[in-house]
Amino acid sequence: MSFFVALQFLTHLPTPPGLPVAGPALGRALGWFPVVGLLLGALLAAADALLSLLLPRELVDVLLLALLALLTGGLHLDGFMDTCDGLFSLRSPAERLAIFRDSRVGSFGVVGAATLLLLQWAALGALPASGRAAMLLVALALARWAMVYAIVAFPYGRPEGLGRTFKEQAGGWALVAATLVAGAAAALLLGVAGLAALALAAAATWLFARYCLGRLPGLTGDTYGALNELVEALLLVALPPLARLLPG
Amino acid sequence: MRGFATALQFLTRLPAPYPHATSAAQLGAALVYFPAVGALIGALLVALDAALGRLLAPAVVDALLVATLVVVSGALHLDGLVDSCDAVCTRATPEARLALMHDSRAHAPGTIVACLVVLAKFAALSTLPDAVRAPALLVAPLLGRWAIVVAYWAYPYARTTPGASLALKAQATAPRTAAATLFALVVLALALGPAGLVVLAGAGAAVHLLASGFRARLPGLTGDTYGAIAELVETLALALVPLVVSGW
Repeated sequence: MSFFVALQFLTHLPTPPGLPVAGPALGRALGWFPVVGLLLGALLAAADALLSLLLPRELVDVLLLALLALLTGGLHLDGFMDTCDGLFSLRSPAERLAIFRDSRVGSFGVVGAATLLLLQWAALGALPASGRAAMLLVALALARWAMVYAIVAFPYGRPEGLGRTFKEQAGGWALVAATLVAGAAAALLLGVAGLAALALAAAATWLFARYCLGRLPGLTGDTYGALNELVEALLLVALPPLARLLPG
Repeated sequence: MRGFATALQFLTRLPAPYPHATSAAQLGAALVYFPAVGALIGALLVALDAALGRLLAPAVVDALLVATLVVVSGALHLDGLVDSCDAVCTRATPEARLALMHDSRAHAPGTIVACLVVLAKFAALSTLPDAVRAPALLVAPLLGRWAIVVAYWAYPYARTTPGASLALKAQATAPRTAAATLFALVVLALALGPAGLVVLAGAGAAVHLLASGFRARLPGLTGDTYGAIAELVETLALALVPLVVSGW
């Protein structure tokens, strides 16, 4: 059941009705975040295989980005844009939190989204034909793992909010479970390169969280989404060279 | 000539040496010429492509052609796409969404879709085979403007406030739509042969799917959704032409 809580929170995929939106189930759902990433990765890999029969690589990659935005309801991209607007503005931490709450997109958010999507598109185009599916799965799973790491290990910035409910239920064991799942999947799919990608995701998460904590009273749901997008982009860029450097 | 000039003024930022249309009847007479304006934009792309192709790298030419589409239309249709996506992606009643569409500021869904559509056009242009490049550049803007005429004629309009779209809706008669379709058909057949008919049918199917999608979430179509349909059909056409021609 906690898997469906994670699925409901992270995607627009259908879930059974009546799932809890508070309480310990949210903490347990954190352990399932990387599994949701694997599922999204598998859906993308399947769409990739089908669309590649008809369309050239460059167009398929745009459609994969669109599909991912649809499957996630644009949740993380939305958080990324709000984070760009908040973090790059020269305001006080409290004012930045208020900018996060504004549903309108500012210039930093537009520039951020355009740049991020261009980078993700270019990175998708550079994934090698062999290992493409595995890399999609690992990048999406580790990006969701990164959110678990950030939720468990770093302070939360608001007195209330959905992120706060997660934070209150998040125990160290949720991180251990998520890490075991993500690490095992990455190692099975990409061997040593997969484990190196986990280490890279961890380092990126630590750096990003430190950066945010220098500008905000704590992390928020929007910054978790931004982290997911950034780690996804980083891994799509880094996985091909990692797989070349660390074969097997 | 008068009708063509009015269509040019309505759909583009290109100079038209006539006074602006003042009556609904003048605006309505322009509907027949919407696909012709599209063909003119397409011809402009073909000419630019030929001229710039001698000077610049292919990726630069493709980016400039995408930019030309934006500038020539004054981003009219892209703006409609952004507003439409923001409205239909919001959790609200159809009537509340209609009010939201008047908000000129961009939100997350519209920003993401605008980035992806621009990227998709670039990706489609960069993968156009040389054999269909000129015909595809010619017919894609045409199909986008033809789609507007069909959408005006075939589906209910949501607003009752006086404006260009309300006037155009009243003026979008079956004979005018048929004349616009006949023009589109002739240009497509000349440019692509029998495959052109398949492309036109594909564009028509796309108009129906998109209009149905909008009508499920809104009380009817609006000026913004006509723009969204034009943008998406134009993008689809760039991908569809090589697909149909190679399948033929």
